[in-house]
Amino acid sequence: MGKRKIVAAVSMLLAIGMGLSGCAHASTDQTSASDANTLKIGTTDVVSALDPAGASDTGSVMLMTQIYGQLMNQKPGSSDPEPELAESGEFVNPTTYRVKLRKGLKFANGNPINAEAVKFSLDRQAGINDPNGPQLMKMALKSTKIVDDLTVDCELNDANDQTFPGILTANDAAIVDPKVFGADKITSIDDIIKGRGFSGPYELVSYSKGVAAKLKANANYSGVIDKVKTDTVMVNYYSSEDNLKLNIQQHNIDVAWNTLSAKDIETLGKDSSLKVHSAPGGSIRYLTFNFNTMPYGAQSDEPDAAKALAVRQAIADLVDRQAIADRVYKGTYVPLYSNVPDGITGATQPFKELYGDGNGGPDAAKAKKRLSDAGVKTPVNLNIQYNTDHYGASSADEYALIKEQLESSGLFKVTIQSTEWSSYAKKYSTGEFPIFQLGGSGEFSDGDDFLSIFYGKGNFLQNGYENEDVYRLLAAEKTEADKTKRNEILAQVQEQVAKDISNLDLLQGQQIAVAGTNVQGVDNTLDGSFKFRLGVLSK
Amino acid sequence: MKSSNAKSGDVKVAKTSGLSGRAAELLRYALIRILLIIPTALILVTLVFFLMRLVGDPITAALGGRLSADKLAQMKHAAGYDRPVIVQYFEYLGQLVRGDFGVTFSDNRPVLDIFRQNGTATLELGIFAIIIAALIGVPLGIVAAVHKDHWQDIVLRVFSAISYATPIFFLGLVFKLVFGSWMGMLPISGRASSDTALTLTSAQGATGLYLLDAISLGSAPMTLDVLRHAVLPAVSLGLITGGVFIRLVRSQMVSTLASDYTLAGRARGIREKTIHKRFALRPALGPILTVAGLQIAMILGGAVLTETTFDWHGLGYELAQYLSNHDFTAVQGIVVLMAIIVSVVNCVIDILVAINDPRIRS
Repeated sequence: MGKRKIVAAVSMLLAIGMGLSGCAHASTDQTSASDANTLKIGTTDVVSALDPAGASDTGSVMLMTQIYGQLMNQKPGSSDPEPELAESGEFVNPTTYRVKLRKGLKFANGNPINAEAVKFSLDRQAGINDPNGPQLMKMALKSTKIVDDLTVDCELNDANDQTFPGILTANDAAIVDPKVFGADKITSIDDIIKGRGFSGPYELVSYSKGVAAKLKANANYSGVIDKVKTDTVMVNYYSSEDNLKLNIQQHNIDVAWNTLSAKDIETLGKDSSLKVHSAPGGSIRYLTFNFNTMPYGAQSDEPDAAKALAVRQAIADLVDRQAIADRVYKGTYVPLYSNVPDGITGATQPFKELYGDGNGGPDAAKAKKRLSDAGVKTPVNLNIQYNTDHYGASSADEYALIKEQLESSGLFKVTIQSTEWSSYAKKYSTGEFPIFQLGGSGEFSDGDDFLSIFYGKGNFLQNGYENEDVYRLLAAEKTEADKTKRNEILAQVQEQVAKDISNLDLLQGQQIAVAGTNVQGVDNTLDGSFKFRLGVLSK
Repeated sequence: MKSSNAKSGDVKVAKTSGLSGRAAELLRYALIRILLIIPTALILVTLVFFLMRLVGDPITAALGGRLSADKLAQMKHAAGYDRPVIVQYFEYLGQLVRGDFGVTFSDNRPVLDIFRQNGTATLELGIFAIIIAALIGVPLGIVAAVHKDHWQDIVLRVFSAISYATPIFFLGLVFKLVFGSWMGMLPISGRASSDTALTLTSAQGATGLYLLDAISLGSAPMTLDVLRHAVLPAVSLGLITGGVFIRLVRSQMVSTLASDYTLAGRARGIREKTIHKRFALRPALGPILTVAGLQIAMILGGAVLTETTFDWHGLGYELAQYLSNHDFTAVQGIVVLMAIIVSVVNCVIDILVAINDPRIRS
């Protein structure tokens, strides 16, 4: 091949490249008019299904929040349930919760939202019983009965279950069109789009898995959002935080939501064309003690409940949550002093007052005294397990810092070990881990949702913790109709479990959205409902 | 005359019998090669199946930390994951024989649907990458061979070594930063802009090959949009194979340029350009075909990283997503199908090479 040919070939390639670049700018210009009216959201969330009976993961729920209405919902800025599609909801007897619908409501396709649709939507959750689907409705609801065209009676499993209005705000209770959705099987996304059985502020116009979802305002919607601020919203899905960051930096998207790394958020915060919005979120990280296998646990070589408690309390005295939040998570997490995250009605901060310096900071002297008073020989050997493929790579830094904090007192000698999630999930539940990391988020905004599953009978931790007083208090708060009294009981539960320390609550995730400075309304949706409502955003 | 006729007839018979003998030989070789796919695939399936089981069951992986141990045990029992592994293995083999690769646990998708929906994206990326590799590898390999031991050769050898030694994700990241973020010339993620992607996905009779679909829709902006999105991932993946091609073309051509028949050609006064093209390059292209086949496996492997780096929604991207979701059914199905594809492609390449070179089939 002659030199001239090579030069010609290279020139041709360059010309094609430059042509592509130039033409693309032209094509971008052509679409700029429609771009101006479309709000673009970027996320790394993954959508597994858009049938409320088939998914409870963050990515699916975020999209379903936009397209399905609820009987009860939270107004932007609030975490408390109030009627949305319902006109009212009340107990007519201890086990019957009556929901009355508003008149004239319609799905996006024009079909009526009536008692039949409500019964169908609630019943199919239990009927389908999908392992990936939400569990709340199945646990709370026994049956439903149509009273008239606009009224449904919900028969509950527990009398006076005051969490039920909260459950009605969760994705479990999304109202779907019986003419579009299957009664006993998950409906595919294609069929959902074709059927247009949407009851929420938006309808889904088109969707490509892992690529994008296009939403258009639902003209028939009437609910907690007075009027959607942007008619067309495009949700772009990215596989990595890195791509999400680059796209918001280049303003290819207007808002980056879930999930950017702490470092990326720090970098983006320095960009004057962007604004980082944050508020307390619903995810929590904590350390769980196995009451059988931890030092001085019931099945250890030297069982002693008082000494085991002293060990747990001394650890609580030494942990510096603020340092972990700042050094490891750069403020994307904040200290958590209860199992109920800040922002939810009834949340208190017992760990802050009971341990350390009484103001959230560590106190080595107090820890030393506790152990000495209980007759615990120091240093105590601790074996702490953490996980990086389920709880994030930063868990390694988080637990390295916890080890450092505990060992610096001279009271503990800590071994930390990471295990792959499949083995981890199996081993912690079978008691193989004496002390281990866990985390998660609630399914609806109610204090009970963050307490019963951890401390109620048959809780999922299965760590040997049992306290009859706590069981009694949990039963009392669940059935207490008076909100003030209920919050008082919730506070008592939080205080008691903080004294016992089955879980040592550490951190609460922040809801973080990075948006262009021209985007309005982001702060309106970062509230205790933990719902990212696209209808309140505009640019 | 008679005897002469008889002789010519003998030659004809001999030629015919020689041809059918070669065909039979080729057929036998092809048959053996095809049959060898079965044990290869079986070994791969077995390895994947048992390796996946070593790390636990899909239900605990997906729902652990959300449900109690009792509930998990119930669900494992319902799904049959508490049965002996060997029973599960034979059941899985039975499913595979029936063409059932299973349904994903996390989003209820038949694994074969993933292949239909995302396989085309990987195929498109693979085609782009091979084109880039050939455009880079063949001409530069020729230049290196022609200028053996001169500075051009040294520079190109270093370039090819760097090309195939550089990790794809690193190269992708550098490209994204330079051409996407700093220069703003090219898109950094996706197969197309979201509007284009949604239009192409929902278009009637869509093949899943975006370029083809955009052209068949007659939309120039969409075609350009697709091409622009393809540049960085295709170059990232293509450069690696291109580096291999440079070295291969160079070494083959250096060998053929030093052969007796090239020397004889030169002695007869044939132009150097013709010698390069006819005498040196053509014989050198045979091994490239073999390597191109082997590169299919490399491209599929590389696609996991390239597709994840550039949000290219192919099989590699899906595999990474399902891995992070701990969806073992999906991972197992995708890996097994990929392994079968690689086996089949290699078999086809072996047969093509055998057609070209009789020494191999004998």
